[in-house]
Amino acid sequence: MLTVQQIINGLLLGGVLALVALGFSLVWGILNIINIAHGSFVMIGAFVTYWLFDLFGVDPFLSIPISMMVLFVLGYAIQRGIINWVVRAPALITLLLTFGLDLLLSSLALLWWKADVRSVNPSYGGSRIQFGTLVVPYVQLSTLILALAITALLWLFLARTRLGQAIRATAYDHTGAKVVGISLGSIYAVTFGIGAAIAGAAGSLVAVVRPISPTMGASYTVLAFAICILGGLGNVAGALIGGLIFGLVDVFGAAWFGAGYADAVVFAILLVILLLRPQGILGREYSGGTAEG
Amino acid sequence: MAATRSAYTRREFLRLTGAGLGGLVVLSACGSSGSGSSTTVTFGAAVSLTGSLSQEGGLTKDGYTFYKDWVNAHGGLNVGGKTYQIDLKLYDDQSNPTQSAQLFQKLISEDKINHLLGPYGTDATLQSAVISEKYQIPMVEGNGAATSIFSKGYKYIFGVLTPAPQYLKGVIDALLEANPAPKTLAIISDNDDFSVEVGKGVADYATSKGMQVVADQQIPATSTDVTSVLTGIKAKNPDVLLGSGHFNTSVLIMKTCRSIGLSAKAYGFSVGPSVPDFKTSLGDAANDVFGGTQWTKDLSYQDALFGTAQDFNDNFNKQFKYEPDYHVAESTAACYALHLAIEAAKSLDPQKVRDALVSLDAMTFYGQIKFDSTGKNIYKPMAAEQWQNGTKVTVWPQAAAKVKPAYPAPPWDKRPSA
Amino acid sequence: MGANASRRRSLLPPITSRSLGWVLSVLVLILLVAVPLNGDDYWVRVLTGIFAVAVMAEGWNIIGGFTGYAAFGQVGWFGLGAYTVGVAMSRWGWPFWPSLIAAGLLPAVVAALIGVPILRLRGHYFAIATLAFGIALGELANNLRYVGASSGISLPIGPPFAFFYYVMLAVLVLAVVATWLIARSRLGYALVAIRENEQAAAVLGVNTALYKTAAFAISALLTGLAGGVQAYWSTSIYAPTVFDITRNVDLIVMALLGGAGTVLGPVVGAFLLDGLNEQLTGAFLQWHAVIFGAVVLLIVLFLPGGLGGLVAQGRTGVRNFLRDLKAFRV
Repeated sequence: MLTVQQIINGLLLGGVLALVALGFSLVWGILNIINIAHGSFVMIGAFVTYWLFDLFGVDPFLSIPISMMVLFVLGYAIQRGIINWVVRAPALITLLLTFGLDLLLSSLALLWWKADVRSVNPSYGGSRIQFGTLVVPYVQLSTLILALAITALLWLFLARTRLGQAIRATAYDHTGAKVVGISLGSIYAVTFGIGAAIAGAAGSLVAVVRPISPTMGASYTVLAFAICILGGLGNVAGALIGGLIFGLVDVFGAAWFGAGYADAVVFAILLVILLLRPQGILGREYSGGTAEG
Repeated sequence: MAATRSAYTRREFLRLTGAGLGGLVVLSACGSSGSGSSTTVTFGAAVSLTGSLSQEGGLTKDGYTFYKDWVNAHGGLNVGGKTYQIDLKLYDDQSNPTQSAQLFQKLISEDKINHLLGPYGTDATLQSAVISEKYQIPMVEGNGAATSIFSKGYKYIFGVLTPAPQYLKGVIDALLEANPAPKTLAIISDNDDFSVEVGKGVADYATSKGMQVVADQQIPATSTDVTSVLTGIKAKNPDVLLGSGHFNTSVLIMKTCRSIGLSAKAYGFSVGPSVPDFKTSLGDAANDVFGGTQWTKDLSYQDALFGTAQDFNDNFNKQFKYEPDYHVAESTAACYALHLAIEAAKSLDPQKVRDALVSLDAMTFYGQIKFDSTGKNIYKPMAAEQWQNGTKVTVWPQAAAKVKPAYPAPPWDKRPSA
Repeated sequence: MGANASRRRSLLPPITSRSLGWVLSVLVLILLVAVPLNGDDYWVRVLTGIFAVAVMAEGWNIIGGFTGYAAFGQVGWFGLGAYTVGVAMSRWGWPFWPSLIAAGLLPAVVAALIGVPILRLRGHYFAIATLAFGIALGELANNLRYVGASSGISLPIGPPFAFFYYVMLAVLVLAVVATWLIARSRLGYALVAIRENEQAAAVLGVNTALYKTAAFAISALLTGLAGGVQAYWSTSIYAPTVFDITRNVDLIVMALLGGAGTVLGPVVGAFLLDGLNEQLTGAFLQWHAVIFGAVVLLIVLFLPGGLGGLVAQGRTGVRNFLRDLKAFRV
């Protein structure tokens, strides 16, 4: 029974983690950019939700569209204004750029919001559904459902809308895309914006289930990376499955090794995957660079 | 050819700049800051005003500030007949112990402070005590309770608070008065020195009183998720759940208990329940939670400067608009201990003050302050308090308790929803 | 003959043919040695910190600049070295010098071991794998009770600060000399060959795995030494401070700024950038981290000449910079 409860906890957590990874995966798969500032986007989303709740009493779930919009604008601006200049530069340059961006964003956050740990305390925070001794807290259940919904929406967007198809086309063949008149700069900016928006949504969900602080970002970036490696790049289903698996890893890792080793366990698994099967469980959808040269 | 030349030129330029910078570095001077006036004595400290310990750090700062304001208004500091006003120099160490040590270094070598107060927390105190020891300046602290601070043979660190292993003793004593008394106990400790000592102390004490410890886990001090740990503990069905950690951990544990439905008969924490924000963060979930405490206003202590414990409570409340918890009291007490030592030494000289601290034995609003040979105060007992119906009350020792402890706590589904 | 000479020279770090550069460097060294004799505590403290960062940048240079494997987790070795000295001196009672040697050796051994799997990765993957490893090391240090968990470790009180100034300076000199020796050795040529075209190098019979791992281990060794000195100097170490992952980008930018793949470049870059950081911290106590982050961003965007390759291939100057930019942008 305890194990079943742990599995439930893991899956509930996994939904949020999948969302964290989804934006990262999109940007990596389509733009071939590893966005080290991704964790900062998650953090900003979390704080948007926190401040809306703390200052205006906005229900955290209702703040998700707002945080998504804020992050979309931020992401679009960053891509258009900064990253588009070095998109084709060697990997080191874009990595440094996004790392510098991450540093800037988290320093600003530390400056404005201090290093204090904060939590969002909605009034329905303690309620849960009970099946015998099994417990499913409402809040965690809602975050899972929302994460799945956003994932589904993204999939539909990419598969069914013109813009979504244009984005996918750009990834498959950017020269061909230019030939048919797709403006690469705009597509890249929109894609990055969407990736940031999803990170923002993930951040909002994280804020509801865990305490947050301006320095929370780095762990999520590493996690997103590991989930993408596991689930395959640019692959919506892959991010989802990877997220759920890592949710289970987090819970059982904490139970077996102690809660402090989350990142270490993630890294160990990452290492194993990179060595044995770099293309991940579901494989690569886009040729966004190979692991071994 | 031209391209290669310009490459050399750039490198040359950078190298010259580097050399120039090195020269500048050597040639420029850096003045040190001046000292205070001759009628003011400055006490200095680095405190965690921001970061994960900002709640507790803020209380520490208020305790220091209250001492300064009260003393300046009530006769100042008397050093061998000459009266001095008190001033404070406080830095923010951002809850980072290394930063704390560096700031104390700065206080001593650049700000020329000769009278040090402690930072908040064992970790920062441990690291900063090294500095005060190195420079042989006495530091009186009220917020670092682990005995590991006092086991290094240092001669310049003095702690006015009761050491860590005693922290939850009062809670156990209060609980064992109930009928039927609780039998099983689960302990969660943050994995820092202080919390581990508290956890071990209470585990040993409870076992010696016939209780059974069914779980004793450690979690990272900056945990953001304790669901896994608590799910495991819930399966063991303990009567009592005790948490040893800091404020953030205590709030997190209570919230998680509520959300996963872990209903213990009693909850207790080493740090957390005494902090005013505990109730604001948890609402109704804070009720019936016990806290180990260094001091409450109901204790019958008193002294010439601050009056009784209740007087201290009321005067502080008047100035700061909230009732002081034990962190505030012990911080003021640390200042007061230093104050009494200076007056007894009739001198501001660090060595003489240090010697006066060694032989200090005073009853204060905070309790008895006397240091054993290693610098810790083993002469003051711990108390326990509890939240009942939205108010914090003292429940141990019985002489100071106006009400009985509320036990058992109602299970989560029977409580009014938050 | 002339063409061959210039081609050969552009592969070698240019410094070997610039005696003026060497004279200047020795002069600076003499000046630096003289600083503590002035009795100025402030500069002794600041410069010791700059030396530490310069060592880290030089260390990165060996694996990143020469070999072309941009490691993003060098701070992990720093922290590991710091904890080695911490544990050795406070838990095992070792004196400083053997502890310091261990602080260099342990990261080197770990790097050699972890390098076997990790160095098979390239580009992005290698970068993030090293980043993740650095983070994981910090987490281990922050959680293992034996090394103090989140309380950190406090060491015995050390000698006056001038001692650490000189030791750190010695480590820096060691790093520079080591880099210089590597640059002129077979190892150095092999590393550059790996950077330029690893597959070709392998085909030509260069044992790429061996040389890459050696470079990785040496960079870890030097960085670990700096960490070891830092630990004894600070007398207290605390995982989040010695495993500060934001430093990773700082030292890479320093190396790039000064000239990756050269011998003195990273040191110059470190002095410039960390000196800037120190002045910023003094002037803008609150905002310095933000300003520094912005400066780092700008430097990365406007890095002159280095965008096409990590050692000067003659692509400097505004015209080349603009041409690079056009090639790199969308």
